[in-house]
Amino acid sequence: MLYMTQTLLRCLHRLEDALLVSLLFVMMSLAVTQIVLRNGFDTGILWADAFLRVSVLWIALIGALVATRQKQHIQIDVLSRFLPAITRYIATIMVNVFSALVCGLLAYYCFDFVKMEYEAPSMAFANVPTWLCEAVMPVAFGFMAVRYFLQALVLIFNPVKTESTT
Amino acid sequence: MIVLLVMALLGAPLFVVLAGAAALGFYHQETSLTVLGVELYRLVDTPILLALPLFTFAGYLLGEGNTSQRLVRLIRALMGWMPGGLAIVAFCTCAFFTAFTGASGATIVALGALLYPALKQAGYPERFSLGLVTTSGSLGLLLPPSLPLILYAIIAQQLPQGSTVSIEAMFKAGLLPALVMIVLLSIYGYWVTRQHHVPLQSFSWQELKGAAIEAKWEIPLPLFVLGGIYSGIFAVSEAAAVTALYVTIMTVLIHREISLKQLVQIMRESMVMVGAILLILAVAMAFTNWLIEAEVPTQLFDVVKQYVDSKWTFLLLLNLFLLILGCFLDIFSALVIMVPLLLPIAVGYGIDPIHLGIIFLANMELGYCTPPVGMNLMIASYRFKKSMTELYHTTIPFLLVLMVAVLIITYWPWLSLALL
Amino acid sequence: MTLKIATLSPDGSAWMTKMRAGAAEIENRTQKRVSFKFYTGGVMGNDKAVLNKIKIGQLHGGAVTAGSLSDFYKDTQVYSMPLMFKNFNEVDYVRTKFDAVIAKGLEQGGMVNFGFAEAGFAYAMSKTAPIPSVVELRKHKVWIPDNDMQSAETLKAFQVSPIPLSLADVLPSLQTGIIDTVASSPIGTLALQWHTQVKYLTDLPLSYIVGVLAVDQKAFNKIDPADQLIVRDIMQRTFKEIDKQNRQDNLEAFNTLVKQGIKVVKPSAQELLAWEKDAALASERIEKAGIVNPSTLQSVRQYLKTYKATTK
Ligand code: NA
Ligand code: NA
Repeated sequence: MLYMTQTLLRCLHRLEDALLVSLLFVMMSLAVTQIVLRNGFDTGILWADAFLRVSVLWIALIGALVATRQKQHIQIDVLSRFLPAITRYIATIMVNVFSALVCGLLAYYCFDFVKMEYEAPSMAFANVPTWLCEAVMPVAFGFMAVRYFLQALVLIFNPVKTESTT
Repeated sequence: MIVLLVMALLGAPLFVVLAGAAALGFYHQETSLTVLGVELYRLVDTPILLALPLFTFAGYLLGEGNTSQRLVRLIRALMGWMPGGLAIVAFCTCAFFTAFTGASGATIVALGALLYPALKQAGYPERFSLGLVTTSGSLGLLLPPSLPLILYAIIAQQLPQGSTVSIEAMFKAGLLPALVMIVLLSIYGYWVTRQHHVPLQSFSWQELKGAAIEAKWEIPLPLFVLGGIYSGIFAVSEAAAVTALYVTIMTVLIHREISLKQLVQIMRESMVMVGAILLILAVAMAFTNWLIEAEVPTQLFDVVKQYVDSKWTFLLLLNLFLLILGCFLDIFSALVIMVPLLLPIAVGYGIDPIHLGIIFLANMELGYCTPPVGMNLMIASYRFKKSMTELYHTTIPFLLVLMVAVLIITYWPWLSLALL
Repeated sequence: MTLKIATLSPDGSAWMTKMRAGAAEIENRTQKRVSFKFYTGGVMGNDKAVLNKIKIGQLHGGAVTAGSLSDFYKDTQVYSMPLMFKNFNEVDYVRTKFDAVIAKGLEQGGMVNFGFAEAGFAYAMSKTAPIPSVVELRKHKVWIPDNDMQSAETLKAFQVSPIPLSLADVLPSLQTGIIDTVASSPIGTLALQWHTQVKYLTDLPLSYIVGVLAVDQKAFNKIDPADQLIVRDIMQRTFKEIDKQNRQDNLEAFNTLVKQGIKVVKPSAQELLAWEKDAALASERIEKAGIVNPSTLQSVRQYLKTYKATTK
């Protein structure tokens, strides 16, 4: 059971990483192709600009999702470095629970937004509906919420091994 | 509200704090929180954002390869013969390198390691050398295509008063102020050589030729960015795409310094950083939207106006405020939190929003070297195995010089606006 | 009740000045029971974002181009069909007959509105070379607004592959040469500074654009019925004024463009026929794509026919 969960998790992480790298690759190739077509052949791919802009959104959310996994988010963090270890431990748990709540809230309302767009569909580019482009928002925030929650749990039940991944 | 503040201070991610603040604000205004979704999706309506992942990726790649070595050799051959030569070389290379790698610490790690021993070897005092490499880690923040310049333009455009702030404008506005900083620091470097009798290097055509040949693939880089944008051949996002592709080809195929496996790793790492920044930016847009709806900047302006009546007093207070802010906030947090509040006030005092951006970033550049949250101090301390206090002392003279530069930049708007 | 209204047009524009005057009068007459708050210059996002915000209730209305309201009533786009009108006389005749139909359709779709204000005829303007013919147009890098299905279908029929950009990107893209051709009304061209870039204007009204102030029915119904009448009365008058004023401003703006050295290109009779043939093709495509109802199109064309018969 534990083994299976770990394999599943590893697959998920791989998928996130692969998506992130491919998005950048496609973005770079498509943008350069567009320049070549525009300047060399006076033409262009009609959906390219819209696609590029949507891919920025996807990079934002998937990148942030990976950043959550690796605890690489930018923080203001003025107080915690002056706190004693035990207070800092409790503070970290609280911060993680709080982050999980906020991400959960974002996931819920982004889902609401996607639902609204699904009910009155419009096209983002080519034949891709807008709601599909937006769907990455609730999904990513949902995973982020779960991740922060698990990070809090790990801290609570395993105070020594704080550098665990979720 | 208090919960949010405590969570922020305890180290909650900035995007969580801003999202929480926006949610709270909209809830208070009885607006459906679905607005958060609408606002986040506005990332898609900001085409200029495309430049951000592409430039950042190019910067990461440059930081990993051996460009830093070739760059130092070239600029040294070019300018090393001048009095104070190596110090000037250090300032110029750091500024150029930081513009691309975006003050993410890459400059200190990649260039500091080359310049610090070279400076000591050339006879510069230890304190000076250490202070130089530490402060120079953020020099170049005002030069294109630095990430903070792009971010300022994007944030300013969200505000009704900041519609004139284009990325192109910011790229032009930063040039002369950055030059002032480099020139002032160079004069200080020259003065130090006079004090310590650092021997001069001689100029060699042979060495310049050799260095130029070695760096022949790097030399066109500024042409893409600056030449392309200023001459109007490329738009900013196009320049970013071309730069990213060019740097990839250069480091992976031509120099073969980076393996395909490393390339994928760098792509991933840079996009994690970009994702974190973009999400903050998206959430900050939602937060800004609430600020506008709740008319917070207008109210703030009314309050400030009661106490400060002249533009010049305001500018002085602004400098002081930003300096203190820079001690506690990193540049990204400061940008997304403070620009939406400060810009409308500054415009109210008749300050050009583009000039404000330069003042803001120039002040933040100092913040990289001030305790307790000076990123340059932390990275240099780690890299050169020196204590933070020791580093702090070495940077003081440089900070003083930079402060003079900041004052000149603040009170002489022409510097920022002349090239527009 | 404070009605929150968003618009892309900047504060201080003729359009906004009139709207603010109307809003002030309403506030006065209703003794502040109804007031307006305007978010100008696109701070609430583009038309699509504004409409989303109306749906979730953050905003109550928007001053937008009629075409962007097709979610609420499809046929708001009927006036902007390619080459539908040849001159303002045709426009005036058709609008006296048909404005009410569109207004009613929008109201039934859930959007209270107060009539339409002319934004003007859109003309093709180019930076690089005169465009007298469709053949010439195909050689150009033509901008279309993103999310504009109608323009996309039109240009497809013209066999032009357009470059979709948001409004804010048009000026820098003209400067850098990402695009070299735009279609816009003379006022719009001046307001957005595009006249500093373009050199040629093809004297052929490509499409006719109207603006509308659309207010969410749910929000509007919260207003006391007597006050609703006051709002309607004053805003309808305001929109008539804006409509008239914009006609005048557009004519003047056209002259200003000419005075600034922009060359007016007149297509020959033969070239005109080719434009019309392709425009007919485009209309067919738009009908087929279901962007506008054929029956609506039919009735507008009928009015046009009647008008042409009477003037002959
Ligand atoms: Na950068
Ligand atoms: Na600092």
